[in-house]
Amino acid sequence: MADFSQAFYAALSLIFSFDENLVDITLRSLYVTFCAVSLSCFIGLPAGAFLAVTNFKAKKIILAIIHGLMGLPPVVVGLCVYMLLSRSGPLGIFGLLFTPKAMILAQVIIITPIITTLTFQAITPLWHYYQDLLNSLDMNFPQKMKTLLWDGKNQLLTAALAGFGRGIGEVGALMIVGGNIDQVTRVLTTAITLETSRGDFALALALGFILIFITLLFSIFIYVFGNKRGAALW
Amino acid sequence: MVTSILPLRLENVTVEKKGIKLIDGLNYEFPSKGITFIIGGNGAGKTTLLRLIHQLEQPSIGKIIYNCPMDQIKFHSAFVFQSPILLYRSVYENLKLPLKQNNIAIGEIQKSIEITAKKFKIDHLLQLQAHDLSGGQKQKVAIARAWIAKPQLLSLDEPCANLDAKSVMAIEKMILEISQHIKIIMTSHDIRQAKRLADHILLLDKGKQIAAASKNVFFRDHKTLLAHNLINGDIIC
Repeated sequence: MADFSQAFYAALSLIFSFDENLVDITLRSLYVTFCAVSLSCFIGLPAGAFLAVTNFKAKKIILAIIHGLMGLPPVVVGLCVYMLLSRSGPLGIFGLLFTPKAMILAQVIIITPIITTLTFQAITPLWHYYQDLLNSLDMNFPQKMKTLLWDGKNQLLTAALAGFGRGIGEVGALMIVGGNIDQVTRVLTTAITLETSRGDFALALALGFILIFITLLFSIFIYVFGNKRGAALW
Repeated sequence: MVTSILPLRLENVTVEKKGIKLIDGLNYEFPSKGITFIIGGNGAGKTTLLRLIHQLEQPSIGKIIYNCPMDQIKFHSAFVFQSPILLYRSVYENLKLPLKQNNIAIGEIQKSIEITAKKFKIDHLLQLQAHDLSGGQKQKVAIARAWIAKPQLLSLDEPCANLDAKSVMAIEKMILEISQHIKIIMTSHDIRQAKRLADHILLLDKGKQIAAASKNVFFRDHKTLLAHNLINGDIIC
């Protein structure tokens, strides 16, 4: 218990003294996850909206696959990305392995199905409600998509934040493709793993607090935005 | 030169879904002016007919003949649905939608919205969220939004359904006023409302045309049993 309280106070002092190493790791975590979420939104938002608005034969199969991909084991994603980016892999020539870019790629693969599915779920009822109006106004497909994405923005923000929550807490895939290299690819989760194994509980705990703080902050955002509006529709 | 969507003619229009005829061989020419009431009970085909006119559905057999090219139909017409479909935005943004869609200049948009809002007495609602309004106010906004782009044809699908008497009166007054400028096709169950508003009446039953005449002729020479019951009993089954 004494060890724990000692580690607790040491962790707080690291946080409030803005320890350079701690700040560096936190900023890298945020950078990697923000980039991954942005790319996933770029792919997932239009893809989810497209699936909500269109009807085609393979739609149910595609939805089932995307839904299934939400549960992808991150370690397996990490392994696949590692094999892709390793020197002997098909994308080895780009030299991306053990760089933040590789970590972003792995996170994009993990997050995109989540954002696509949540977008689909948010836009589908909105489309059913708006469909006749938008058709009667003779809107073309891009105009319909724009209207739906804009009016569903609160739900879509929730989707993005859910993706962020998943990304910021990711460890397995990032450890494999990033290699947890100090000042290069070390992020909050991989650093916690390392410091715990080293026995530096103060730093591990400080990193843990920051991770919890960030996760909580985003969960509060999700709660606030998710309940702000549209309860009757969604 | 502005082409006119009217007159509008139905030629043997049939809509069949899953073996059921929702509209059955309709032949009718909508008069170019005034308010045409489509009346009938549930499942008579009133809403389907309006959806056909606005190309939200296609006939299985027959055709609808417009006076203007097909690509201009939606430009010249507007539809107010039974449950008003309002964007999850402010009333102002809702009114802006058709104007933006018709590529109206930004300065004109502002002016048109102000004029329309005053005309429909919704200027005090402009900054409110459309979904926070009462049923009557929502319907007013929906009609104002349909009217704002100055269509030649306005279709109203049971615009007074589920509204209290005061709201019905306000909506009816609004309809009468705008019917001076544009053609209105309106559906309703309510024969008394038809008496108050209609210039022409088209009576449907199970997708078939039972009677079609000007209001005065319809109420004077109701030949069919359904029309007779409708007029005398105010109940349609």
